Amino acid sequence: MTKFFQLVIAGIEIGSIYALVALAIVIIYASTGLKNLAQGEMAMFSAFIAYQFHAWGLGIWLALILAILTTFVLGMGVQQVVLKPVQDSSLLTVVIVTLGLFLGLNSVAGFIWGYMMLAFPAIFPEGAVEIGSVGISYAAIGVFAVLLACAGALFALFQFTKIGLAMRAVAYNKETSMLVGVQVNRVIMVGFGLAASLGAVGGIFAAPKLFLDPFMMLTVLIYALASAAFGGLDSPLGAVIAGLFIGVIENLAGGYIGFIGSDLKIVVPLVIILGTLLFRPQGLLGRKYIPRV
Amino acid sequence: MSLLEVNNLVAGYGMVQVLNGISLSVEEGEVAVVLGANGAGKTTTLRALTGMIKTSGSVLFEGEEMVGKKTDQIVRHRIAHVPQGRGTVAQMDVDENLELGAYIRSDKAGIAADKQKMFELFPRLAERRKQAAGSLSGGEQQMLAIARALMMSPRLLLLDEPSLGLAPLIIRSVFDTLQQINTEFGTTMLVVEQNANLALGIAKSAFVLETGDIVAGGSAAQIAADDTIRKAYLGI
Amino acid sequence: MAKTTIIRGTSQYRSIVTVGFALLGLVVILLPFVMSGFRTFQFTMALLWALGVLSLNMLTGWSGQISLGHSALFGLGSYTTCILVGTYEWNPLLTIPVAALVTFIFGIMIGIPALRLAGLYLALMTLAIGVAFTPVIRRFKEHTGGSMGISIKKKVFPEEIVGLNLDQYLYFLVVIFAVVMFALARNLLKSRVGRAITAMRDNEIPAQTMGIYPARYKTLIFATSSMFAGIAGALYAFVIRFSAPYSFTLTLAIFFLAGLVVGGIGTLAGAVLGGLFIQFVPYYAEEINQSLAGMVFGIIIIVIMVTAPTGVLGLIKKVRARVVTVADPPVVRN
Ligand SMILES: Nc1ncnc2c1ncn2[C@@H]1O[C@H](COP(=O)(O)OP(=O)(O)OP(=O)(O)O)[C@@H](O)[C@H]1O
Ligand SMILES: [Mg+2]
Repeated sequence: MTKFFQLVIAGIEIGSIYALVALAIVIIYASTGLKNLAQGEMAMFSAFIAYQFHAWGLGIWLALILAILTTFVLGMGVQQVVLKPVQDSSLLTVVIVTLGLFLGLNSVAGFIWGYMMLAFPAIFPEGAVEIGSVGISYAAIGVFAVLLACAGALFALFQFTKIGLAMRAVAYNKETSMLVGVQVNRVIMVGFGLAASLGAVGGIFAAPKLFLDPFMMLTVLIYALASAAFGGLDSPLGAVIAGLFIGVIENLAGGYIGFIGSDLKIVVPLVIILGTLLFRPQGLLGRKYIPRV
Repeated sequence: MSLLEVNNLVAGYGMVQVLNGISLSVEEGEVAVVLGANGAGKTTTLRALTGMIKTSGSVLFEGEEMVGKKTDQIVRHRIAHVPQGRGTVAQMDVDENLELGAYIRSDKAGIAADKQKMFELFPRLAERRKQAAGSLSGGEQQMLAIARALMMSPRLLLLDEPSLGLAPLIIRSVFDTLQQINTEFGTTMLVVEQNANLALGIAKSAFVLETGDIVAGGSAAQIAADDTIRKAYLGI
Repeated sequence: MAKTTIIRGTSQYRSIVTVGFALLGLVVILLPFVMSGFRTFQFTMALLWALGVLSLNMLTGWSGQISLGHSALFGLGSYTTCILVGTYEWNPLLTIPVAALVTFIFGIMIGIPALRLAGLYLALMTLAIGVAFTPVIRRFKEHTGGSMGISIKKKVFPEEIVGLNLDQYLYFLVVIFAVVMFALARNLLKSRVGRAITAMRDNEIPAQTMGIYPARYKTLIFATSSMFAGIAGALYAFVIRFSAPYSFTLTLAIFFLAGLVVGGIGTLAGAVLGGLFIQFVPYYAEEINQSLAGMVFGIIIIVIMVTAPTGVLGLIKKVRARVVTVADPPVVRN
């Protein structure tokens, strides 16, 4: 039983990261209908930025807050320069462009910081809370708390603020939004910045565990995409639940099914994506899928 | 000076020119209608007025030039536009749609009061406050669209075929409500319609649009009485 | 300047095309005798990448589906050959049909669920396959050699074959495969099936009314495309004589995509341009910096998609159109 709980806790810890990146993907998808395959790379980049600020002597918390803010601006810039021109193009074009962004960001990170793994400083104190024979590390608690805080803040933003209302309106109906005076392009830009920041939170909190290198977010991206698909591409709540669920399932499968071990864990999201698409294409909590005519 | 003065307005889609330089004006406080058959360019006219398509010519609103401005800037002059086919956010509920309608305002108290007014004007919406707009009946959606537009407390209300797809009885009540809004709140309206009889019934002035040109204009009574116009353009 | 007009199907048009192809053929045949062994090797590699791009083009360019799993399919072909030759000591040439069959079957396996996926989800699923390939290969290290990879001994190839040294032999082998595969692709595109596939890309509903069944064709095109990638991968194993998990990562899939975008999505000749691009840009870029190739590719993908979605070939055609007009013969109506 101890092993079981230990695996579940490890699953929640990594699942929180998946959920954060999945939230970023969902926000962009919901507000622009665009899936940013470079979301993981943007998060990776943010983690490097945080690393850099810390290396320049800033405290870790200050470094990560600055990195998140920087990412907000960078995210808006990326939207304006790279994605806005293809916003209304075919899906294929958009996917290809985000892959170009993927490769570009990856290489720029490699160019600046190299391809050697870098150790990222611990954000939370070492140690764990012992409950019976199960140890819950402060890092696990911390990451989970960060996820809840982000999800809560996001919920409040969408439900109780004017910009949140505008973001939802733009996501659903650009024309009506324009006609009530919403500056649609600016809202999309802010949405992008926000999503990038959320991804940044995921990347930064993943960094102490995964170590820093330009490829650190590659598998996280797959898990996050699986979470977004599983939870429902337009459902932030779905993304959170699915991210945690996938984190837990992946750890249990890796821990209990010897054949899977640590290398084949990656097949878990693949199976989940496939299963979702075949049996419930709109995802767990997504709105019913309406094919475009 | 008129509230809205349109001069030689040219607009279209891509290479296709739809409006060939139309001119019309709307006086403060009145209801004006633009009549025309399918494809005459009625929708295009309204879209041009709110900067949703490429436009040239002149649109003076309260003496200020609107051509060349972006939609959200034009809307901020408190020009409300109810597009053809409703223009509510289907996935949001009635309350949220009304909130959205007041997006450009920041007077919280005024917004709350106006919302209350809307619920008095459209009691059916009050009963359905938490229902998604998309799940309302056609008539209710049209009412919501009008209410949403009124929430910005507009200086000018543009309505694109409010009768479209509604049963005769409902159309009647929509037009009665429009008239009521005009008399009670003094809201200036420019209504685009195919249903000439009804529209002329509530309008003070009228324009007839035919493939991108205004072919007749004058007081609503005058247009309604003109047999040649009725036969040639309005089919009544 | 007066523009010349050339009409398709006339003898003038045919002779221009014939002369063009003859010149091209001459260059291709002479190349390994004029160039050094290393240069020849580079052109062999460029052709292999071109085949990879071609395989992706069949999917993306023709049927509008996207795949990020083509690195994995290419890798699967390469591993098939390496394992059969390295471990089981097969004759290398005999492994090619096996690699083709394996990837064809794999393609059907991906293709069937892919049918039900809208473009976005297909991208997602193939992306997962592309990323999963490396860990899966590592997992089965009894067969694949794990992270160390698996190699083929040089001595399975004779020193000299029909008077050609190994570099030249491999070059011509790949050229022959490339000619055959490009011809096959071209014929497939012109066939009823090919027209059905492009019809589906442009709009699925009319295709159905034409009596075309999207499911069958989509699976078929997916499997064929996978097989082409697999054959290219098997040939890669001939040339490199080594397969390692890190040679077939997502980066390779994006490189294929970059080649596709540069050459021009949907064009056959563009694939060759794309292959040259994939081979030579990193080669020169990495002399300057290891990351430069990726940056260049990333930026080029974005810039081309935003400004000139028809790629280099499209630009060439535009320039050509300034000089001559190539027109279809006038249709004679009765
Ligand atoms: N998005 C568009 N792109 C190209 N042409 C368009 C577009 N929208 C409308 N048109 C053309 O512009 C002309 C006028 O259309 P418009 O929608 O203004 O007509 P309308 O008077 O509103 O008709 P209806 O009563 O049917 O709504 C039509 O010929 C139409 O085909
Ligand atoms: Mg209309």
